[in-house]
Amino acid sequence: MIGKVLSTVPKIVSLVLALAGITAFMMYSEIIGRSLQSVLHLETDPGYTGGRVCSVLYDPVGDDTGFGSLTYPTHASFAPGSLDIVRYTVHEPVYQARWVSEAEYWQLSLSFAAGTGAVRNIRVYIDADGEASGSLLPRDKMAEGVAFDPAVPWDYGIAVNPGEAVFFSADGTMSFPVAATEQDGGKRVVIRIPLRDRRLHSLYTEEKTRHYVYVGAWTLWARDGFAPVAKRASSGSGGGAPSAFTPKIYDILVPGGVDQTALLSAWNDEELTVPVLQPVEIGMGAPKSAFGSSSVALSPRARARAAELKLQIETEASTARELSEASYAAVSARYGADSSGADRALILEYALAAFSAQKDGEAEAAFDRLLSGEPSDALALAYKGSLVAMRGGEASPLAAVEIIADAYRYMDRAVDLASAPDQIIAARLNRANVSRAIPETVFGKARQGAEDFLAAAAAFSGIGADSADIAQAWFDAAVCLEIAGAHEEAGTWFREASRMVEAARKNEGIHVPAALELSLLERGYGGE
Amino acid sequence: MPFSAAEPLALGFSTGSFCVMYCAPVLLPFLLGREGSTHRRNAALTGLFLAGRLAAYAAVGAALAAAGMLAMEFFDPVFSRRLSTVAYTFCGLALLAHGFAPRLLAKKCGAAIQGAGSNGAAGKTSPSCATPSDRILRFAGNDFVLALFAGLCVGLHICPPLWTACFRAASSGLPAYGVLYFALFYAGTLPFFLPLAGIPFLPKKLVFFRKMARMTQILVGAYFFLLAGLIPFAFGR
Amino acid sequence: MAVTIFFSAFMCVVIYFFGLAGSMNSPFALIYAAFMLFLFVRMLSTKNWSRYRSVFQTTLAVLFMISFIGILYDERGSMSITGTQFQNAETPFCHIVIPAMLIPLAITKTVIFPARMIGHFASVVSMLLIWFIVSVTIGRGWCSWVCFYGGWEEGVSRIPKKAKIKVLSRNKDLRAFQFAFLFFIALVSLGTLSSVYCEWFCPFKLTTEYAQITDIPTLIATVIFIGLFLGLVIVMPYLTRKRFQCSTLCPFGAFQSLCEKASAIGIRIDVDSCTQCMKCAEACKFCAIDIDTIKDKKGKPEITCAKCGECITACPQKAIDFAYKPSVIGRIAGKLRPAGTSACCPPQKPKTAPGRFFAEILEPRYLFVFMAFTFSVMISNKFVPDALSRIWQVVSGGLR
Repeated sequence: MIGKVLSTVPKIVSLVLALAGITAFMMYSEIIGRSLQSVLHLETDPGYTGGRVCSVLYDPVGDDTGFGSLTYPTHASFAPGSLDIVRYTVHEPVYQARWVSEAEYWQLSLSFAAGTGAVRNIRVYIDADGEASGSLLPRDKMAEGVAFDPAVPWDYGIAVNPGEAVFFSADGTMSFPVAATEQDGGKRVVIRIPLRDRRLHSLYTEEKTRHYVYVGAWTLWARDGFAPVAKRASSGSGGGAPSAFTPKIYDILVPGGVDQTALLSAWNDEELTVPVLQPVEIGMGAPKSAFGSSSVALSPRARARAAELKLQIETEASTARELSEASYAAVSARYGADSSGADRALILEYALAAFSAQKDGEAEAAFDRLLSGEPSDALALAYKGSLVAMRGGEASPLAAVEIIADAYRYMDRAVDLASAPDQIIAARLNRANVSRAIPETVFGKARQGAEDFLAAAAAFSGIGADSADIAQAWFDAAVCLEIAGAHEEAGTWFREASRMVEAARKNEGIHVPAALELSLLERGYGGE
Repeated sequence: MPFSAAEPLALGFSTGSFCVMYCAPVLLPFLLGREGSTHRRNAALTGLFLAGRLAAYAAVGAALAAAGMLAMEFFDPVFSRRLSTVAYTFCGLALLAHGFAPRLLAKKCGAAIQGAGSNGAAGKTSPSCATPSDRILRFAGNDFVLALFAGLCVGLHICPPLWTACFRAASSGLPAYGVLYFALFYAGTLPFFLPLAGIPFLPKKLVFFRKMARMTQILVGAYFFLLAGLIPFAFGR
Repeated sequence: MAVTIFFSAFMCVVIYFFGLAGSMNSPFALIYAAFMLFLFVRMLSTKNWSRYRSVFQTTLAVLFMISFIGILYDERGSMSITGTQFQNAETPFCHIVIPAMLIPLAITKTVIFPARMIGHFASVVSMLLIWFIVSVTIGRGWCSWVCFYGGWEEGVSRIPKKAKIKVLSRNKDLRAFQFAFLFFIALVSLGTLSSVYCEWFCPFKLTTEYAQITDIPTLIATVIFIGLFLGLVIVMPYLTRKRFQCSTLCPFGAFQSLCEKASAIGIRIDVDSCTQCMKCAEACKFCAIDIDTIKDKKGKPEITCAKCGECITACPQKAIDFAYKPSVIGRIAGKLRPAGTSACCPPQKPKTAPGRFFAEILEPRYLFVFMAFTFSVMISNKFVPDALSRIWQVVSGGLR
């Protein structure tokens, strides 16, 4: 009897596995896969993808005004942000790479705020050896209108624009093409420099190199491709330039403590001198983490500031609660008095007040009421989705998956239908906040959340909202990017949020939420 | 002594797994394909292979030291890749020759030589198998000759930790210190070869396994000779 | 009949979930669903596993090629792998790489293939998961029920009525070569930390994607790919009526033979009923039944059996069938069997109809075929309707 049972049980298990197990496994394979990846952290051999990153430098977003007032040429191809460097990534030189045409190469990449390479004239000048040999002027001395630090002459240069992608040496003995490709819709330019020439092999053992990195507007008709600048912008030239000595550079990487506008505006019309650029230093050795850590050791001053902010957070939270309760109470009375229910504005006001006061049931009922009258109400759809998602947090794991999927159906529709700025902001922020809150290993929505936060920030800018709101959106986008594993990109937005918070603090009258400031401080941004 | 003994040992130990990765395609099929493999014979073949590897490392190190600071200027991956190409070519040729020699010899001489296990002992061979080409075939089919030669070739694959070891050895002042640095580095890589001692424990009845290993040796030899050796060498990759 | 209805009902659910959910408006999804259900029902009702399996697999190979190439053109505008795809590690990951990447992954913690790790139908993690679940359920059944490459040989090997070259006496050598090739690929990929099979030996570059020909070495590689495809996928299957590439070259097939241990169901040959006519050995597409296998009464095919069912159909004595492999529990059950009873004798048939039904649905043949066909549906549900849609676009565009 026992033998019979023992021989039947595995067969029954096999039957169940066959009928349901395989299908169930595949249903949840994405979730299982993301969970596995979050534990195993599988990655491609760096030799295929450019080598290990040894340095990432960030440049502020929106500083593509050169010496301070330079404007883009008016031609439509010069999209705003297309000449705005936001990140410069340097990899370790690679050797014995497989399955590629160049087994030895060095990869650099520049990330821009927007646009395509069709308008960029990129220059990277490198001092590789730290010695006095090299050049102090650009390839075409009269082109971009700058000179280089006499203590850091460059040995090698890279020029990338629609007309060429070339590596050259200061002494003129070396010149060969490099592979320059655009990625992320043109926002990222990846440059691979073949290292066949023996003279370049010192790069494998150098501990530091110094780079001058800048970008101008490209045109076929100007000296070395740098579009001229004049007082007024035209189709083929930039504007805002008060002098013939104004550098034709829209954005440049500068070392810490140096101001781009000060550096690029240091020409002298009478003495006929041009601005002298300073390089950034790149550590070439073991990979460095240039990303803001989620928790860093704070200085005593920062710790004191953090303690102040913690108290402020409690006060702000308490004040916010009281305000929402009061607002809810006030609107409830009017809402209850309106028996016809025809006043959509009142229903919306009530719903939003209930939402803020965390009266989820009442809020959802009010939004349902709005939707029954107007199913395409983007605002109502956005908040409805948010409320449905909150229910998922209290359900069992299996039920939560279905509930969240349902929530996204509302929110996705809201984003599609939103047209007015307030609708866009509400739709994007609701979806983004849900994307940030739900487990990445299960739903994989962090990247979408980042895009939503950035879109909301752009909408805030459009309506002239407080810089604190923009900073908060950027910060939240950075957190989402961190969750999605895009640490380089997250670093850009943490820095932007921090700069915005600093600017807002200095400008009295703009309140910066203490929670935002504390979160940035704990990651090592600001506070000094 | 300008360095502590721990430094080269640690450097060797940290890269030992990579050394085994380079050696595995050559060593594993060869050892697994031997007929009548005993512990002594297995250890002797492995030992010869490692000796060949050490000789190659020593030659490279000595050449770099002799070139002095000129060679010490920088790490040259193109040179090491081209050297690897040469190593692959000759190693592949040796593996192919060793794989095919017994068969060719058996066809020619009519003697029943078992697989690729000829150990060079003359045995009972017909007088007609004493021509120079037969002697070459017998030499090529000799396990010990292949073990030593393959070890020499594999030792020419210079990985960056080996460059580091060479630099340190050459710049350590006295040649004796250089040799010592190198020897300690090499010793650090040896523990990863210990599992090879288990090969004779594999069931002797697995004729299929041996046949498979010998086929693998031929495939590895052909790949090394043609695709990793001649083609990159000829077309400048 | 009841068993057919039982399993067909569950297969309807599988086909709905994988093939129709979210695509009910697509006529191509409906055609696909009907086609798959038809094949499955016919398979169960006729018990001719192999005929309908081979129809599916041949169809999948052709339509997969059309769909995959179409997707490549949509994603990147070309069948060739671009430098950007390599740099971004966005090359679709193929299951054949799995045997070569596991040891380097364990040692270096990196994947020696420039593919996405997650978030794509051809990402590393998703392919590893599929490989895992297939290995623990149907083992090397992947080759005959799932592989979208093997269908080419499946179809070509059925064209001639008789083999022009007989390889039965060389089965052992062919198997030895296949494992030797697996060993070679694994070792050399480990030694060079790159996917050597993809770089030099993949015959299916012609049906999926390939690296751009930029120099002589890549031209030589392309010539090798074309040669292997024409030789091992078209010519040799035609001449031998065997799935020649699957039996002699494919490293994943050899690897799955080793993973077959994890699968609970295999093929069994009843040596008492067998008359040693060798029809099964001639029919076997994977060179898994030798003369010695039958003469020595081994009771099961060799290690490279892909459980395609050809031998089951070919055997005139019905001596071959799917069976549970002896397991730990089975051995314990054997020890607990009353003294005097034999392990080989089939258990007593249940006396009641429900009992007979229950016993029949636990038969390994049905479970195996159901599991295998579930994977067939799973692997094809995206590509077949997509290919049909693309074909229709071309045809209707041409008619206009």
